[in-house]
Amino acid sequence: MSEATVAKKGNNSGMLKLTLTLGAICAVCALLLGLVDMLTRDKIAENAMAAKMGAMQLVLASDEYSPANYTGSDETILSAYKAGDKGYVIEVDCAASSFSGTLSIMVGVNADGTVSGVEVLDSGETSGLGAKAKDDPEWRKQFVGKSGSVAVDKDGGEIAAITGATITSRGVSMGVTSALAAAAELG
Amino acid sequence: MDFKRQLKEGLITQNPVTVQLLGMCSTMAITTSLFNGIGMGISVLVILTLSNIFIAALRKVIPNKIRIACFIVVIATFVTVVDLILKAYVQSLSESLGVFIPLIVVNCIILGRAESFCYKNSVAASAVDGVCQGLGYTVILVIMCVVREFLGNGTFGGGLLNGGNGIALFPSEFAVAGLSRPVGGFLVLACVIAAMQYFLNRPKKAEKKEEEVAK
Repeated sequence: MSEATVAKKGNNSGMLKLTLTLGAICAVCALLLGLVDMLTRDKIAENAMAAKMGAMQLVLASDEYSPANYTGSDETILSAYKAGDKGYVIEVDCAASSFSGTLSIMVGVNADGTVSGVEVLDSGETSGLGAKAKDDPEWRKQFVGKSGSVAVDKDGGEIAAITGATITSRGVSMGVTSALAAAAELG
Repeated sequence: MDFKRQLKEGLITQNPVTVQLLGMCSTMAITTSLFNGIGMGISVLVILTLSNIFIAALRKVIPNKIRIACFIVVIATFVTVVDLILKAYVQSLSESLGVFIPLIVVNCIILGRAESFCYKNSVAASAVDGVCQGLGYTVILVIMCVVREFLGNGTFGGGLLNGGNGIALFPSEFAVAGLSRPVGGFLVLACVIAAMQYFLNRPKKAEKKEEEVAK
């Protein structure tokens, strides 16, 4: 294309220039992001795994955890681990029944089918209300020893819901119930 | 390029938080412990400096019509870079700041400096501007953190000193819990801005008095 035609098509080539400039900047940025992601990905996965292992130790302490193959139909069960002969550790995604859309918990289930402990892994619940599920270990202690179906007091259960965060409390209770059912299925 | 003048502007006369009133959301949200304040301040400082350098370097290439789009792409890139690095190497900070790190993308300080400074100034001046404005932001965050943590929790240096719990200066049952809540953020920020305005306006009065004396 000669320069004269470029000048005539000023409007179009202007548009083209805008597109190309923005495209080029985006490409450079994407390259940079790819590079950083490559460098940090393993470390981040390692940290997430370490956090998960820490939570597993808290809910049901054991020397070794071996992945258990959960084949049930409950899609909220993210992963299950057999904690030696002590029972199971089940990771449950409670997002569907949470308040904000992000809530996953780790539930320890003793070999006799009772809850040994509950930890909140990831929570987007409201700070000061639903976030207490993660921040307040005393509240989670209520679940210890429960079996079968767990529900908050408003639904006729035994768990005292967090004030102002009934939905979060209900979400965690439902997650614990799912984990208990999954552990029962695993045997 | 005048480093001293830019530093004075960033810290005092053109402080991003108390004078330009930018980035208020994060200022009020995260200033609950010293660790958060310093971490957030340094994150913003790094992102601001990097994006300032990048945008100043590209200022002649970026067409005026799409400059905001270009700024945001650059800023978002650096925010994501910092977010990933924090997640990988400073996990505790990444956890306690949570969503406020990704939200630096929409922190007005960074877009504001890109638009008002970097688009018109050299790379070196923009880099200095990034550091100075970032320092101004950090200093205000630290002041807010120290005040809110002391009155709201009775501690100093939360997340950093004494195994993360902070040094207890008085029993927490005497603390004003409201100050570590958002409402406390508004109150403390208002007091800091008021103090800053008083401080900024005082020299003029002194000058006037001197003039009167001279007369």
